[in-house]
Amino acid sequence: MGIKLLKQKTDCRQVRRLYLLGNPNVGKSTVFNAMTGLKQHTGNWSGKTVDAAMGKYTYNGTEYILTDLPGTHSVLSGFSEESVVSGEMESAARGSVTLILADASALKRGVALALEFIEEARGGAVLCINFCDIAAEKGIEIDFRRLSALLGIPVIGITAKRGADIKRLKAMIDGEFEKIAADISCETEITSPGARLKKADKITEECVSVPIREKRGAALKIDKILTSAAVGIPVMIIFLGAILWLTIRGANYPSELLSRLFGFLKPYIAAMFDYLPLPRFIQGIVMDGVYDTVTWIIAVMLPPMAIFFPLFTLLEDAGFLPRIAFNLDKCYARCGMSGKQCLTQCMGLGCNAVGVCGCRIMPGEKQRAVAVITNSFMPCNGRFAILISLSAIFVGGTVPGGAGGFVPMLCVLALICLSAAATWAVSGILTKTLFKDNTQTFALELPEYRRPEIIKTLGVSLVSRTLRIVGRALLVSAPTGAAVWLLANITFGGAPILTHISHFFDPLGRFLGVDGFIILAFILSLPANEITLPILIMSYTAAGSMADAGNLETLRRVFEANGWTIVTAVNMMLLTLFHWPCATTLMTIYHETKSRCILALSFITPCLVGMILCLFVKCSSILLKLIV
Amino acid sequence: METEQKNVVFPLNRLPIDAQAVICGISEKAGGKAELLINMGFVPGERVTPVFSSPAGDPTAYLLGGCFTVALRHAEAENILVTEERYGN
Ligand SMILES: Nc1nc2c(ncn2[C@@H]2O[C@H](COP(=O)(O)OP(=O)(O)OP(=O)(O)O)[C@@H](O)[C@H]2O)c(=O)[nH]1
Ligand SMILES: [Mg+2]
Repeated sequence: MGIKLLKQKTDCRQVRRLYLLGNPNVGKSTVFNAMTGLKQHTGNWSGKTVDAAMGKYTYNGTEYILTDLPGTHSVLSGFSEESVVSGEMESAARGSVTLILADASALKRGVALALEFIEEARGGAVLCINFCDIAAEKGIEIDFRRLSALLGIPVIGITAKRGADIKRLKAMIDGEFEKIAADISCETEITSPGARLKKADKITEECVSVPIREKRGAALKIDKILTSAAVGIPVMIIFLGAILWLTIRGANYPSELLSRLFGFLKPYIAAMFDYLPLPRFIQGIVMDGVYDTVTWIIAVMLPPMAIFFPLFTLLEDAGFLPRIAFNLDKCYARCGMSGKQCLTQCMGLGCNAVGVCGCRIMPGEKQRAVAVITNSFMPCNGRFAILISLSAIFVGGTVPGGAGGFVPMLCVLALICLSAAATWAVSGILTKTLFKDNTQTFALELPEYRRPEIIKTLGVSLVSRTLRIVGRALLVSAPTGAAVWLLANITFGGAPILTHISHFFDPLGRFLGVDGFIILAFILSLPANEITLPILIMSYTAAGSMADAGNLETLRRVFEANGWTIVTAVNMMLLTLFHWPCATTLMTIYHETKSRCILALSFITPCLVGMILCLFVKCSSILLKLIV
Repeated sequence: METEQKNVVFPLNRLPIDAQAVICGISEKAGGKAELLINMGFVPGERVTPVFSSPAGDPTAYLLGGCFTVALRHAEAENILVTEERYGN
């Protein structure tokens, strides 16, 4: 069971073990982060965490090792992600304490889980009632002391986002750890889930004041509208369109500014080389190879990522994603899949490696395999920025006044819809041939809407996700930039080596309606998709430098000088959507599935789809020309 | 249990939106699906209300036990047997 110790270095003083158990989406990861200071991903939907993660903290000189578990409805059941939980719980030794997290607004379910845990008697337990802020808003009052007496375990009410509450929780654990860990009542006999729930119902009825139903009524009305036949799907598309538009419009200004800044700085930095006793080609590698690639990625790729990621996280935190899955489920049902695949695709939109991990929420091995294979159809953030640049240059540019963001937005939106359609088509084929399986249960939890914490969400998703991804891209791009510059500048038989290699790929490229340089750029960007465009630009501008290619207008001239037409641009975008997954994703796929067959399929399937679509576009453009 | 002759048992997917019912059990047809449904909380005695359907009409969201919303497809919901009997015998 791949458990990662998120913070290393465990010295063997007194170490106490804690586990975080609870229904899905009750804030386990939020509590985990608050206690350990780590950054497990959180989100308002069930199944955000799919693997156990460990972290540690020290309180009063005692070290605590805390394990964050995926959400579960039952301690020992054997369903997909829940088997991680039962596995962990089996090994939870006596002498450990499990924090059973519960949602104050759905206390009954938490109490039922606590009852099951007590029956199983696997160490001490504390019932932590989270979301006390929301419960207070709803007018729910809980008698913690009474609840504790009835359950026979300590009960504490917290709001995971409040630092003071986390301190209180830590103090309570520290003070009573030994007592709690030793206090395992074994008298209770094993009951059925039904009996347990009834008992939980009785207990909560005694301890919880009758909640006011008004709040729920408002949320229900929103849900009824967002899932109605007339409004549901258009609203989803408008939301996505709005985010895309904000991304495209918003990214323009910082992009422009950054590329000007880097262009301005370059001569000064280059001048420093004159003072250093280095051969000229070193300056070429560093300035025209590494510097240009790296700054290009920062200027062109970073702004759209830094806008799209946080906005999307806000939707996620509000609880919108499961509603999308709910609305589209019928399409997935037709392909023999569960609507939960939609959630894995949404995560793929951020990063395909994360999406592939998320496929654990799929019911059954076969659906999971199909979801893994098709995940890379969704453009990850790196490829997303390529699509945005290309559609701004070629599609926005061809329509008068269209460059303002609206036309490129429609173009990217259409491409995402195409990705979704391809996912359905390919999933349908796979589930009818290689991965036949009709026995799976569909059950999708719809969490309550929650007001996202805008500032915090923006900060966290910007720092922990966007910068990390860009950091990885830069790490890869620096050496690649140097290598490509060398290939472009070392001549052999009258032409740069790069040109020779791309000539080799030219027949394939021409066949697909693009050129050899484009194919080569995709091959070289296997380590990280973000570097596709910089590689391409550098190979086009060959011996020169790609200075101020950050400007979209210059970029367009570079492409057009190399024979790009609208067909080339469209096919380049199609290939961006459908080619092999990046190296990180491929490694994750193998790690997650341990199957070479699935790995191979994940590699080949998008390639095939990309080739078919490119040929289709090329042939239709030829046909159009014949007709006109 | 006392008024067996009066209470009709029918599958959950036939319950209209916003109507309330009480779960009697899971039908035997469910086979392997039963375990997940039971773990989710579809156990005898629970109140259940269909609250809204998706645009295509198929999965329907059910409010279970007054505090937990979960969407099921017709194929799942028809395995859950309910009755309009009052809650709490
Ligand atoms: N208002 C409020 N929101 C909270 C609180 N605790 C957590 N949240 C939010 O609830 C959502 C779910 O939190 P997670 O920590 O991802 O839940 P989880 O239990 O780890 O979920 P799974 O991993 O899917 O089982 C997130 O959007 C959190 O920001 C709280 O005390 N108050
Ligand atoms: Mg979690």
